[in-house]
Parts: sequence; structure tokens; C-alpha cells
Amino acid sequence: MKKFSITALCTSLALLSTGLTATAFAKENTEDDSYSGGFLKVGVGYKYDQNPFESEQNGFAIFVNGRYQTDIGLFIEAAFGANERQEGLNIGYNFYNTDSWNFDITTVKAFGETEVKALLVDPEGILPNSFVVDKRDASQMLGLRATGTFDKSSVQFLVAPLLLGDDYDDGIYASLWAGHSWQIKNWEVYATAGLEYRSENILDHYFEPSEALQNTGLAPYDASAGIDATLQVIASYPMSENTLFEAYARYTQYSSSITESPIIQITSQFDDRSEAKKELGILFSYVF
Amino acid sequence: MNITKPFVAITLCILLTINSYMVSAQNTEDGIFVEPRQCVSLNQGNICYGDVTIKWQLSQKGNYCLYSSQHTQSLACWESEKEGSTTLKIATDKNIVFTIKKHHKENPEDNHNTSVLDSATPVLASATLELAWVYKKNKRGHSRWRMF
Repeated sequence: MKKFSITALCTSLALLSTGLTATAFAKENTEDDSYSGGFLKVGVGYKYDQNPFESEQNGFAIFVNGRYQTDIGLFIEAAFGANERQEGLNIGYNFYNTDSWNFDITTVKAFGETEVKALLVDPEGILPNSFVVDKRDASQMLGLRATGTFDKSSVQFLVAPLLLGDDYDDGIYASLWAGHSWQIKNWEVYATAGLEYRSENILDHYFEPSEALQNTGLAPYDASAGIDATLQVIASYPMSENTLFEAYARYTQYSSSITESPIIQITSQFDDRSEAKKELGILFSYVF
Repeated sequence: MNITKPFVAITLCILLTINSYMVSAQNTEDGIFVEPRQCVSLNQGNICYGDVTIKWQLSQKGNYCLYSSQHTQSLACWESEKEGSTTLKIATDKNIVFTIKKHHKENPEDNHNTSVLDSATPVLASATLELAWVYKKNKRGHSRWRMF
């Protein structure tokens, strides 16, 4: 999975930089009267990330973010380093626009890959201890996205009903986000709040312990649909035409369907994990 | 984890950025010099804020005034000088052109602190503070999606 992520990262970087090179980025003070174009931002810095899924990260991190849209509306979006559950490479088609709204068909990572490792102990002590490893691939889905931009505010709706794969029957992933930015001198502070809905099919796939895991002592569990809530604030300061200083904080409260899962009930008790996601980052970025 | 390399990388990044600010006009020729030469905002169209130091020097002593494309009133005037400097707070969404012109003392009571721009008076020196931005404005917001 790591190999796939690195390949995806390299592919997205190559595609984005090709697109960006092809576009004339002369800094003329004229607004670009089109929807095509994009940017690629690569950052290095510090990240603190505590969540129930992975061991705490506290140290150096690389951040990559980019978007490029062609004249005919095809786009590619890449996000690596922040927003762990949904990071990755998305492609889509921008099929309709108004002055305030953009409508896209896009892929979206409805949930990241998981790997649960549990120790199987023979209660009679005859068989040696062994690990049970239960892996689930990421859920790439296809959906409709509407993004509205109103001066300093934005809102986004996304509904993804099609799973790109056959790991389980189609579920529904939907999200609603609202954001607002403030300019304070040359700083921009941008705050967003979001709700993410995942249907029972999706959450069952990740949080219902398999039979093998149940043999290690995990209780059976039938996940229901759930909604995660996220608050995020980011502050950006332009140091030059191409370099930015940025800091962000993010908090996600996972749905009870996730937090009550026997898997998360155990992992969230580990010293370096928590039931909610708490993420902080400070980075210097270069924008191509 | 070995954290030495990342911190060296970050430090280099900071130093390079500081260096780009330091490499501004330290010129000894006649003219007008603006430091920094750019005002950088995050998004095209944003108001850019900053402190700008303007230095000028000419070969002959005289009465001179500094003007900007933002105002018709002079920003500062000097009497019987051939060089001068001033620092200004600016807020702009356009390039600013600074010019030095001769100040004609019409009124003996004139204290030389201000003067109104006279387009007929020749420009002796000029320099432009360029407005720059990280994200060019297009019909699709640059970074709105990244938070989602």
C-alpha cells in the first residue's frame, strides 16, 4: 500500500508539474477568465497527529498539494501530508459552472486503507502465539461535487454513491463543508467546518471485526451509518511570490459507529492514540 | 528519528527566503530605490500591506518632493538636498510608482512639507513597487478545495 501511495504521489507530481509547465504563469495583474490552470505546492515542516488509527506522529513531515484543470474540464487533485483519511490522488471532470458554483464528477477517497493486527493466544497454551492481520483497502468512490464560492466564504456538497472496486457493495459517502477566510494584513486565516456521512456498508467493511479477529477476542460488531464532524483552521503568510509559511490545526470527532467499534475501543486506549483526531502542522511551502 | 536533516532543510528554506528580501537595491547611482521591491499578497486581488523604505539621490542639490501613483499630494519633500529617504506604510492592490520631482517654491511661507502633483513638472527619477501574489485569481478558487 505504501508502494502504491508513493507511486501515486510521483505520478501526481509529474502530471501536475507537466500541466503547470505548460501553462504560462506570468504574473500579470489580469484575472484569468477561465477555469483551467492550477498550482502545485510542496511543503516541509512539523506535524503532530494523534488519532485512533495510527501511532502518534510527532516530527518532520512533507506536505504536497496541487490541482490542475485542463481547458476541457478534466482535472487532477493531489493532497498528501495532511488530512490523512482522505489524502491521495483524485481525478474528475468539471462539467458545469456558474459565477458562484462549480459542479464536478470526481473520485474521492471515502475511507483510507486499514490494517488491524491482533495477537492470537491459545488459551490452553498448546499452540504458539501468532498474529492475525486483517487488511482493508481504501475506498475510492465516484461522486458528484458542488462547490460554491461567495466572496470570502465557500460551501461544498459531495455525494459519492459508486465504489470503484468490488470489496463490498456500494455504500454512500457524502460530505458537507463550509468555510470562511479572513485577511489580517498579509495573513489569511481560513476556517472550515465539515460533516462526513458514511453509510452502514462502508463502516461495516472497516469496523466489523472479521471472524479471524473475533478469534483473538474481539467482540462481534455491526456498525451502523455514521457522521464525522471536523473543525479546521489554517493560517497562511506569503513570504515571497513562491514561498508560504503556513500553520494549521484540525480536530475530528468520529461518529459513535466508529468509536464504539471493538477495534477502536482498543486502539484508542493505546498511549499514543486518541479517540478523536487532533492534528497540528507548521510548514514552509513552495508554490510552483 | 533523525531530525537533523529536516531541520537543516527548513533552516535553509528560511535563509533563502530572508536572502531574497535582503537582495534589494543598494545602488549608488542617481535614482530612486524602493525596498523591498515587491509587496506580496496571498491571492491576486488582495490588498497588500507593508512597510516600504524609499531612498533617492540626485547629482544636484535642490528642492525635491516624492510622489506616488496612489496620491496627488506629495509624500515628503526635501529642501536643498541631493539625497533623502523615508519609510511608508502602504496598502495597495496595484503596483505603486514612486517619483521624485523638483519642488517649485511659489510661496515663501511654504514649509516644504507637502506639494500637489503637477503633471507638467518633469519626473527626475522613478521606481515601481510591484504587487505580487502567490495564487493567481481565476474563476475557480485556488485553495478552497484543499481543506475538504
